[in-house]
Amino acid sequence: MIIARLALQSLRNRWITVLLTILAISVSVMLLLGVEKVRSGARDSFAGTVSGADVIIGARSGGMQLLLYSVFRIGNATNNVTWRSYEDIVSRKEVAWAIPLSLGDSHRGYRVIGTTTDYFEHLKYRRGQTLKFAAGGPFDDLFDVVLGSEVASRLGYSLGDQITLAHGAGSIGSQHDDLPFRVSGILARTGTPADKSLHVSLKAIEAIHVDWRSGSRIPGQVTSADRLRQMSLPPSAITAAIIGLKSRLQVISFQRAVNEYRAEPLSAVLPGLALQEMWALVGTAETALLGVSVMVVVTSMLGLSAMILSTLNERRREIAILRSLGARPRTIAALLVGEATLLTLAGIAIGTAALYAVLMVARPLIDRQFGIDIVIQLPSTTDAMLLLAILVGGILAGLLPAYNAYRTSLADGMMVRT
Amino acid sequence: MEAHALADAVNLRGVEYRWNTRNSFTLSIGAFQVPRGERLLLLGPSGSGKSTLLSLLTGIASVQAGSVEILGQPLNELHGSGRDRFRAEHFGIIFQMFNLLPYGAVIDNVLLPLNFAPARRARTVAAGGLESEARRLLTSLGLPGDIGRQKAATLSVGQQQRVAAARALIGSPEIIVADEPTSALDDNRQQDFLDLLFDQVDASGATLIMVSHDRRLAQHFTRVVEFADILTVSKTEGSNR
Repeated sequence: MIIARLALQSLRNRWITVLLTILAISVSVMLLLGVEKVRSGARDSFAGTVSGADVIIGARSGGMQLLLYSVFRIGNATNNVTWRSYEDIVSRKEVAWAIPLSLGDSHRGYRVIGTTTDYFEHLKYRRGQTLKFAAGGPFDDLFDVVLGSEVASRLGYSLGDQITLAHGAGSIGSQHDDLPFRVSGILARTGTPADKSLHVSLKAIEAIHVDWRSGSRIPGQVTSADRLRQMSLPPSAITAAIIGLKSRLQVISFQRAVNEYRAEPLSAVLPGLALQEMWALVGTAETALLGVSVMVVVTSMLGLSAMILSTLNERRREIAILRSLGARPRTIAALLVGEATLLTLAGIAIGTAALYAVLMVARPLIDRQFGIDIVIQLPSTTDAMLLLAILVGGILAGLLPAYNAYRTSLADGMMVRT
Repeated sequence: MEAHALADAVNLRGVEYRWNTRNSFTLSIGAFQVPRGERLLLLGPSGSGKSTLLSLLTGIASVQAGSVEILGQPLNELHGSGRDRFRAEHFGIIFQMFNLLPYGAVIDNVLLPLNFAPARRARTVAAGGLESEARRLLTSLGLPGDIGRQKAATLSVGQQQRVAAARALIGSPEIIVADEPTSALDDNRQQDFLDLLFDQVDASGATLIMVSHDRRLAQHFTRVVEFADILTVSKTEGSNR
C-alpha cells in the first residue's frame, strides 16, 4: 500500500519530533503503570503484614487501634489483658496457636516485644511465609534478645552483643542498664514491623521490672540477674495476642466469645478485615499518586496532539497534493488519526517494556528499601485497561488535528497560499 | 457512455462562484467549452481567477449557480467524495512547483494517484504493469531509467516537474490540467519539457488545459483563450450575507 508507505516515510522525515513524542508517551506510560504496580504491590505487602492469623485480641478498644499497636507497633494500648484471661481464652478448644505480645519497653526508638518462641513459629507474613533467622536463633536464656533485621543493621549489632533496654517507648527513658541483654538471634528481612522490633521472652519483661513500681525504680532495691533467673516470675498481664484457630469457620463465633468475655472487657478483631479498613484510610495517598500520573498521561496526549497540529502547516502542501490526486478529506483525516494511533502504540510498547526492565532491576532494591514486593507478572486486567485507556486517549488526541486538516483541505483545495 | 464519448471535455454555462472568504467578489463565466483532444492555453496574469477556475473544473470547489460538465458528467450531481473519485479517475494535474511528496520515492509519487482511481489503475496494469508503465513514462519524459528509487527531494526542479508530468499521465486520464508548469524552469528546459509533455499527451489522446501568463507559449497550442474574454470578477454590490 503506497499510502501507508508514504505515511511512514513522512514520519521518518520528521523523526526527531516523532521520537520525542513517542518518548514522552512511553515515560507517561511507564509512570502510570509503575504507580499502579507500586500501588498494588504496597496494598499486597500491607495486607501481607499478618498472614494466617485469624483473630487479634486486646483490651476493649477500637479495632483499628488494636491493629495499630499489636501489628504495626504504633501507639500504645489503653489497657492490658490479664494473664489469667489470656490463658482462659487460649485454652478454648478452637484455638490452634497463640502468640502473646507484651509491649511497653524500647531500645533506641525501636519497640521491645515480650513474647514466646511461638512468635517465630507461627507468625506469618506475605502469603504464609514464616520468619527466618539470618543469624543465631530464638531466645533461650532469660536475657537473650532477638533483633529484627532493621534494628540490627541500623544500629550495627551482631550476635553476642550486649544491649540495654529502656523503660517506656521514648528513646531517653530511664534505662534498665543494670540488666544487659545478649543478642541471640537476628531475623531475616520481612518488610513487616518485625524488622523494627526487638524480641525477648515474657519472663524477661517481668524480670526487668521486678525492681520497678509504677514507672520508676524502687530506691535501693537491686535484684541480680542470676537471682532473677531462679525466680519463677509468671507474667501478670500482656498487651495483645495473635491467635490462629483450627478452622476459619469458627472465627465469628470465637470473636463474639472474646467480645462478650465476662471477666474483663476485651476486643477481638479479624486482621484481614481491619487491614482492609485501614488501607481504605491510607490508600487515599496512593489514589492521589495515581491521579498525578493520569495527569502526566493527559499531558503527553496533549503533546501528541500539539505535535501533529504543529506539523499541519508545513504539511498543507502535502495535503493539497493528496487532494488534487483525488484523496478525500476523510482519507486525510484518517491518515492523521492513524499517525496518532501509531505513535501511541509505539509509546505504549516502549513504555511497558522499559517498565518491566526497570522492575527486574529494581525489585530487590524496592523490597529492601521500602518493604514493598512488586511481583513481576504479565500486565493485570487493571494494567490492560489503563493501556487501553491510553490508546483511546491517543486516538482522541489525533482527532483535533484530523478535524483541522479536514477543514484545511476543504478550504485550501489544491491551492496553497505560500 | 455513447453520449459521454461525444460530449465536450469541459462545458461551463452560466457559472457563478462566490469566494467564501472574500464574499463580496463573484467570478462569472457565461459560456466556455473545451472540445476533446484540444490543446488549450488559458492566458492571464496571476490573480485573475486562474486557480479558482481550475478548482471549479476539477471539482474541488463547487459553483453557486450554473453548471460544470466534465466529459458529459455534471459535477453538481456528484457528492463530495464522488467528485474526489471523479477527479482521481479523469484528471492529471501538474502544479507550478512542489508537486511531489518530498520524502517519498519517485516511483511511489508517480503511482500515488492510482490509489484513488481504480479504473486508471486497471488501465495501467493492462498496459504492462504499474512499475513498468511508471518507468516507461519516466524514461520517455527524458529521465534516467533508474530514477524510480530515488527520494523525490533529491531531484532538481526540472526533474521534479517531469516526475509530476509522469504522475499526471499515468493510467491515461482524459484531461491533463497544468498550472504554470514551466514557470520554474529556464527557457531551454521549458521547451524540452513542453515537447516531451506534448508527445505524451498526444500519445494518450488526452485533452490538455494549460494556464500561463507567458504569451510566448501560444505557438504550441491549438487554441489560446484570454481569461478576460471568458470570465469576469466583479464586486458584488450590497452584499447582505
